[in-house]
Amino acid sequence: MVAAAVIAMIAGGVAMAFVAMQRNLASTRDYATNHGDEMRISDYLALDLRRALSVQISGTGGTTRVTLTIPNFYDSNGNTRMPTIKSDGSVDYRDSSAPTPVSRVTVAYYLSGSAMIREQAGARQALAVNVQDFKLTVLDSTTDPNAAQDFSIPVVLAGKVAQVKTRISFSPTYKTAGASTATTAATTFYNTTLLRNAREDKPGVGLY
Amino acid sequence: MFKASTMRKTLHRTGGFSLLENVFACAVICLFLAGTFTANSESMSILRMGRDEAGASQVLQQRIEQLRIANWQAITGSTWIRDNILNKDADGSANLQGVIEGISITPYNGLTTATNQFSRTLGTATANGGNSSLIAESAIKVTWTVTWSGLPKGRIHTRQNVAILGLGGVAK
Repeated sequence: MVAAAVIAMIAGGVAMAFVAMQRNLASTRDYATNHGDEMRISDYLALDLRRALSVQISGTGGTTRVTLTIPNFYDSNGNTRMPTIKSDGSVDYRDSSAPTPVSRVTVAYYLSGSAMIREQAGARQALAVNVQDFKLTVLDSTTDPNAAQDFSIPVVLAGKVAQVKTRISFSPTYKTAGASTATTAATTFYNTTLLRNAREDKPGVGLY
Repeated sequence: MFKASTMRKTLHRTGGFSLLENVFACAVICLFLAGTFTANSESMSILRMGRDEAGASQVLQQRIEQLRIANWQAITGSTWIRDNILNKDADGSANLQGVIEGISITPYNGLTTATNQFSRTLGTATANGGNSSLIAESAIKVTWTVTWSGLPKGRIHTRQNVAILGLGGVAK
């Protein structure tokens, strides 16, 4: 009787150990995948922000939509365009074959269902899938009401430079009851990008 | 009669052997369980270490990006970095325990050895060196170091980024 009780306890322990290991493996795999997705999305955003001419942000959290315009660097085959020097000395990349030359391309980032989408000139590309719990926060130093706290831009440079910060977080699955606010915050992937081009949507704000 | 006595003895011996067997089996299973839970705990520690390393990389990325708004006078100055970059925590640095940022600005292939050093420790930024001669250099080396204590057992971790900046290579 005693032996049976001891064996039952041990069997329970073994079962618990296996369940815990299995859950841990699944949660760790989920964490690693999501962290990789965070980095990929952040990297794409930073690439586009560096060459952005305008930045618009709407929505919050999972409904955030970032719309950028970038120079029309590449043709439809992916070949680089020959730049044109304009009368004011600035450089323009344009598709001269079109009836009306196209020198700007619109790029948008948003969550659609469970996928993070990068849409360029109407062409959608899923950067990550199964990311329905992702929260994307984008702060633009030229529009952020708390820019003084959120950014470290010296007063003498205010109005001359623009920085954009991106924060991407997700809900890890280590707890059955769901992740706490602090646990979710700990998954945040941060990126700060200085916009290199003069902003067309914010006259006076541009490259220092 | 003889046979019954022998059987009793045999049963006694078998009963004792079964108890020992069980104790041994329990010990083996307990060892297995202990190993399993230790492995589980270790994997979580490694995951946390990875998270800290990634967090430190993000701190460095943000700091170097912040540095891009500095002109030559600012970046070679003796207090500008302390007052304009290190005056605030980098995003995500709060997740690193006891984080310390250290910055060293030295001439790169220069004629002098003047060095400016800055640090941010527990929310306080400091500047050491006070050299104003770096402005005359044609290139400088910026070494940005993030140090924190993490797993295992509060071990000190360090992550570093080095940037070479040339006069005229950054904004005017």
